Amino acid sequence: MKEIWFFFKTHLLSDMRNKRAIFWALIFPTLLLFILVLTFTNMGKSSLNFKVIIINEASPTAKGVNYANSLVKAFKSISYPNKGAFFTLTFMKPDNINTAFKKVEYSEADIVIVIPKTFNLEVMRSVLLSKVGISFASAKINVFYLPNEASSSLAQGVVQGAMDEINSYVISKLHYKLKTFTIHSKTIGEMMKSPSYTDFVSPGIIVMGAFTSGLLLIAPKLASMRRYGIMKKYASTPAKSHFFFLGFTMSKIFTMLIQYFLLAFLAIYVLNSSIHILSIEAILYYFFICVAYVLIGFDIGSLVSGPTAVGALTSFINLPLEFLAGIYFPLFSLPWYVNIFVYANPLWYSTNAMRQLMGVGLSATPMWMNILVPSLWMLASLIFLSTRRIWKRS
Amino acid sequence: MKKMKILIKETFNMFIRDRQTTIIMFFSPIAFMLILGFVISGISGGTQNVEVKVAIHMSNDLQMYKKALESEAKKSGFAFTFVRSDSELKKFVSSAKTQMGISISSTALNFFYNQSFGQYNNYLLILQNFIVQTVRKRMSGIPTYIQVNPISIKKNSNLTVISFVVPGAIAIAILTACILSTATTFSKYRSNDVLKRIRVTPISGSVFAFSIAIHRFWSSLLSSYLTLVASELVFSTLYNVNWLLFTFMISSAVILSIGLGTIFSIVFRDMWTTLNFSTLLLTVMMLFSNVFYPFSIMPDYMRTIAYFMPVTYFMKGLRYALGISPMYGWEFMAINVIFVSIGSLMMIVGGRSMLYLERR
Repeated sequence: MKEIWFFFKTHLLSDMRNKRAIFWALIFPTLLLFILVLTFTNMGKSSLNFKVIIINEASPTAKGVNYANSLVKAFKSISYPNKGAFFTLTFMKPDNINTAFKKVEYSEADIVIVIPKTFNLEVMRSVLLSKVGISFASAKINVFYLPNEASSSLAQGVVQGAMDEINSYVISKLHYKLKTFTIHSKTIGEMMKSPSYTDFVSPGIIVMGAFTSGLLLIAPKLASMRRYGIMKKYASTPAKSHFFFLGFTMSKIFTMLIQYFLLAFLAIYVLNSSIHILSIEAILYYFFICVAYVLIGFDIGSLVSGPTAVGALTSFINLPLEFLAGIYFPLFSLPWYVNIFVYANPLWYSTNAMRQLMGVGLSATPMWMNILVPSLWMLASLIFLSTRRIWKRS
Repeated sequence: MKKMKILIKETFNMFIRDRQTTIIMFFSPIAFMLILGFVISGISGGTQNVEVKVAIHMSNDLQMYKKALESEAKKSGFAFTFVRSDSELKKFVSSAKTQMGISISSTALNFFYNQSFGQYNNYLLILQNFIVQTVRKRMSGIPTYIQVNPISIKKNSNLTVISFVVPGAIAIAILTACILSTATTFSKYRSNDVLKRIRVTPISGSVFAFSIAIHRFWSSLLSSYLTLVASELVFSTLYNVNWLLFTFMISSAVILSIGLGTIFSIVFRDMWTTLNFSTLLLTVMMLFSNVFYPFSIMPDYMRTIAYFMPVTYFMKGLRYALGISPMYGWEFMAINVIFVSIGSLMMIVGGRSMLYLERR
């Protein structure tokens, strides 16, 4: 027991003094959570601002009816500086149409809306014909855009959506009777009402933090201890190998637990998340995956020649595993050959399980699989470790 | 000149023998592009067009609208799968075969979402309003008075969803590979006392830095060609590539990245701090730039940060070279000149300071 405590204390203190360990275990996951929440929480929400040029070629009808003006007013009502606006409008004269196109081509504007000359007449004709029950062609406004530009394409889609609202407004003014429907929406696997992006991403970052720590706290340390003969020195003392491994492992799991509470408290008290951090099941499952990732860290530490190689290997495997675990974005419609990697990825199951255990939403995979797959990884790691001779006396 | 030749030959041997660097330089950009490509195209519903997959259950009295609904859906970027019951519909949604489910009867519309899609459901909720309005209008037999007629300013635009993702993936992968490999190599040489030994030879710091940089340069260039070919083979991206401009843009960005890597290795001294800082900077660059989403949907603070990120300008130039979006010729030239000047300056100053700091 004394020996275990000695190894635990020594390696914990060594990690606390180590800049690399502090960075990967505590600073990086914290900053990543902040950056992700800052990026995706406000993305597309009250931040849409498309630059739209309007060219009104239409002239009022002989009776002075001007639907084009009403249309322009409708666009103005959903443009800045109004609340909940989508567009920043610029008005240009019909002679400047080529200048307007140039502006779209060179990303100075997103789209050009042209209200054609015959617009007022066409709308008037449509209204009259529809009232006497004769079929008619709708009046058209031309939206010039660049399909290759994401902004331009999106702006074009938003105008299409806005037109539905404008049409509904016209319809209600003409005393049409709209059929009434009851609208219900149901979320399958709902555990939390409208989870925010922080709720969605926090369990994933906690899992990712444990995985990165498993690799970067253990593998480089083990590799350098092997390289500088420290393991041999330990082996020549009366200390038993399992005391070393227990103390060493416990020190890493302790750091991972600190990481868990740091990230969870940050998510709740700073980023206003509603995840259940003190759920016993979540903590126990976290402990379970920590053991699995520690064993994977041992495997890599025993496999590579030095700490530099661990750095390279880790950065090479970390990113694919994170993206294929649905930590940042949900995963769907992937081809079968990519799904093989997803289904074999322990991070995918851990993330799903933690989301359920922290009360965000039901796991996308059955809970027994969330335990089975990381357990299989643990078993494979143990088998692999048993073939390596880390603790050598000679 | 002879010294330079020998040095380049020796550093080439070191580069080729270093398996980690070779993997980072050649394979990581391709792997990164493929993974990101698959994940993003999965969210978008396909590699070619944005397509929201929806499971639909229609009550018996509405079966006659099935075909009309299907053709309307295709035009609006939806892919419908018709199912026989609500329970089958729920299975489709919960197993993520479709992104949402809609059960339609003559009096009610029921929408089903999957909680594990998280924030993505917010976008689907926006679509819900659009669907409700369209269905209500159709069912009530109400005409559409005003229609939008979308017209493309440029003809023959055949770009797909994945085509937006690939340049971003190439840019980030090239920056990551160059910054990380340069920074860690110099830091490793410092910790192994290689720099101390170089200092006592007649070789100048900038020549040594150049000899290391040149192998990162050609390998990055080769790797970016390979990544582009891989994207064509796997995703059929069909870019209208101007190879000369593409080579210019990649070259200048590589020079800037190598310069940055050199400076990071001097400022942070030990390898792990350099690696940590570079990783953090690249994460910020990836998320706070217009690599994966356009400026028009970013909040103001993100837009401001994005303007300070070199990757924003790298992306702009790359998209221009790939025939995705136009750009003023002077703007393209200015970006390249600035990248090359700053990168070269950092390499020269960095190389000299690196050996100078080893004088003790």
